[in-house]
Amino acid sequence: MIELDHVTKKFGGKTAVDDLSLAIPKGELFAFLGPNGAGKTTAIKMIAGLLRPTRGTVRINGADINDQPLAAKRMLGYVPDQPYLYDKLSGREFMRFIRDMYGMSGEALEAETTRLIDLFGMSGYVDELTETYSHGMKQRLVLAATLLHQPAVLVLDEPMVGLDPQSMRLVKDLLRRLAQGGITVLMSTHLLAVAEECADRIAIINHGRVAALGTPAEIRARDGRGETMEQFFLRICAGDGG
Amino acid sequence: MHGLYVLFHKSIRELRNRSRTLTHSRLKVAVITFFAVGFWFGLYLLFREGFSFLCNFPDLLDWVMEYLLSLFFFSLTLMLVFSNGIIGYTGLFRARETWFLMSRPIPPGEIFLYKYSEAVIFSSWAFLFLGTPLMAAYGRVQGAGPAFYVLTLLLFLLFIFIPAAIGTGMALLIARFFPRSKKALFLSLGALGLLLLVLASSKILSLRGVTTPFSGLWMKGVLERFDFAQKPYLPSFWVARAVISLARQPAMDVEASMFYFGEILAWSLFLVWLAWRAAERWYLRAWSLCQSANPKPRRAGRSRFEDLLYRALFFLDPQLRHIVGKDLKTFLRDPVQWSQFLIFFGLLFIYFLNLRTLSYDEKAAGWKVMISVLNLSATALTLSTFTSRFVFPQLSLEGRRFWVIGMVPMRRSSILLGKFAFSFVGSTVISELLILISTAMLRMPVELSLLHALTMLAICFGLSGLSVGLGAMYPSFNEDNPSKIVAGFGGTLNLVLSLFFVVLIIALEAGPCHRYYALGAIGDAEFRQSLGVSLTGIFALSALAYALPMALGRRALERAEP
Repeated sequence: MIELDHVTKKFGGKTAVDDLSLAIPKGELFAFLGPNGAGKTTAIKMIAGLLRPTRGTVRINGADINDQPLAAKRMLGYVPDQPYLYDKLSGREFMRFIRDMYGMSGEALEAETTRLIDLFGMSGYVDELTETYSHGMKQRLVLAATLLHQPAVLVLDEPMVGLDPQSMRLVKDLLRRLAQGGITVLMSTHLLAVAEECADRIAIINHGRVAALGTPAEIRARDGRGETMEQFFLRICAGDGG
Repeated sequence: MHGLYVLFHKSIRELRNRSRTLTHSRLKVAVITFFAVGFWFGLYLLFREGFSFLCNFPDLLDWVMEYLLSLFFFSLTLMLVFSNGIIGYTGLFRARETWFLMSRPIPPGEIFLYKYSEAVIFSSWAFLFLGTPLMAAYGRVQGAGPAFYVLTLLLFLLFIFIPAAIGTGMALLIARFFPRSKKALFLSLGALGLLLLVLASSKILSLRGVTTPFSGLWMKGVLERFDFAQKPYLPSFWVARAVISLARQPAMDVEASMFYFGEILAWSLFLVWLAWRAAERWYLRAWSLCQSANPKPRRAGRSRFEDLLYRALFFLDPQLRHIVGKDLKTFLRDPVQWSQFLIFFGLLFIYFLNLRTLSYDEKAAGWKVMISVLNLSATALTLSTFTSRFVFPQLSLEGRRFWVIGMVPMRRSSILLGKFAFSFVGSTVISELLILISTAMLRMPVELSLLHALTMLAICFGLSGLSVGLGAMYPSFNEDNPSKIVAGFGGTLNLVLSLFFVVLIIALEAGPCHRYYALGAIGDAEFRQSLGVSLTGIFALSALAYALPMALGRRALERAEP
């Protein structure tokens, strides 16, 4: 599970995340929604151990990401908003590299690699150098590589960006299946429909704070105005918290 | 060290894939190899001639060699510390790869060592490229056996880890303890370099009036003022001593060689270990601090310098002037670019200002002309490396942003003209200023000053045309890193052609001057006549260096699909 305990992050004098506390249990698919600059990516980077909170703690399955970074990162799979790949490696070589980094080997893993390649429809290009891939192809490869070490917690920053409709469907179904299988999934997205369709719970982040938290149905029904998610989101982010 | 092993394994795989793609471009490999080998041999011959000349003074040879080698390695060590510091900082705190690695379960010390080894390779290859011909020439002149060459190479390979550990370690400490002032890295390193330069200059300046320049006593005085490079605690001094011991004749001084070898090995290991331990302790924290620092928002307006440039570009369309303005702003707001510019041209500036201190202005006309031509050559060669490094990749760097200027309602070829104007005007202002200082400090006659100024103008014109034109002919629109763009085929070709161009132009100018002033082989009338021929040749060559690459580049750009 993911626990954020009074987490604050400041960049100089600017507060990007302000006293954020959350607990995302095992097997839940949780979505961060929020306008640009709301603090979603900063929060995700702190969960991934890429930024150190100014105050507060982040725990991954009980391991403090800053005090026990290696133990926490071993349980974590992270997909950034802009996937990083090595241009001069093929997709398959990149997946092997990821396996090696997590110290994994064996025939079962080889079979898992092949399964993921097939699942993400990459068999046609996985042996070509990644410098020739489109954004969507890169995104699929990064997703597949992240799942290789079977993380207990999966954190995805805008995973749908650049994906075609089929790939989006694939990812949405996959994330739901992973959550049902006991993996904690946290994703940030701008797409209200994606969050509404997939997430067990949603947190709307605005100005670094949680402006609303609950299941999609709870959020829609929160102020008793009979609003759609979009209407509620726009109202909350415009400052009319009701 | 499992993480480090995996990262190195990945790098080897990348290298293998890269070399496979290179086999598809044999011409590119052949051209680069040809010029690299040619350049190496050129250096070797130059050094061998120098050492052979020194052999004419057997009594002074050992003494002079010790000073020369100590100073040579001292300067290279300083440069290596700076370049490793800058490359190390970029790799450790700025590279996108580091974001990726930081999210993986790899100990920070191992990520540091991986980035450190990258810095060693990227910044030290030039040291090996310069150092090996020097050592080959020295060994040849000394009559050293094969063991000398093998052991010297080994010595260099051990040595480069010392400045690399110091430079990268300094980058780590600055990021950890001065995270809010990123410029502190460049400023502190630059200030240190400048301080050393001022100290060295002030030592030579103190010789003015005491002795006759270039006399034996003067030489002794100059060398003794560089004895700071002879301190026994300096790694550069150990390398110099080790090289001298290895080359000792009739037999190698094994004891001394072993001592200095051991010292270099021990310090290499110790400093790498120390940097690794520091990284284990501070790297994660330093990294997070660097990413968390919020630089003060810059409210940018047009500076006086920009206004001046806009006016100087009166001959361009307003649209083009705005493109040039954008390039200028990018240049001025990127410390990596202007700091290198400042270092290269700043050194020349300090040297030219000190020409009278060395009493060069009191020399005979032949000497003065020679020195002024050498100064012109130094400025032109510095400019050629600058245009190769910064002007050539400019069009490629538009890359993913190409649509911005690509959508402007103007011909793409006009964009090339804008890049050319930026390079030509910028380089002319700086170079002509340097030439003016050089000729004024040497008290050169007006007509010769004018000749140098015209030659410099032709060089700026030609070099700008070459770099902009070839940049359009060989673009790398998908590459964001200018160093990688420059290291490609187009960049290498541009550098080589730029050097040839400069050498040809200087030869054309220097020929008649040397025959008239130094040899006295021709009379006034013939000098004027040959000077006219030379100037015609210079301008024709400059026009060719502009027109041909620009025409080919224009055609390539019109067809390009970035």
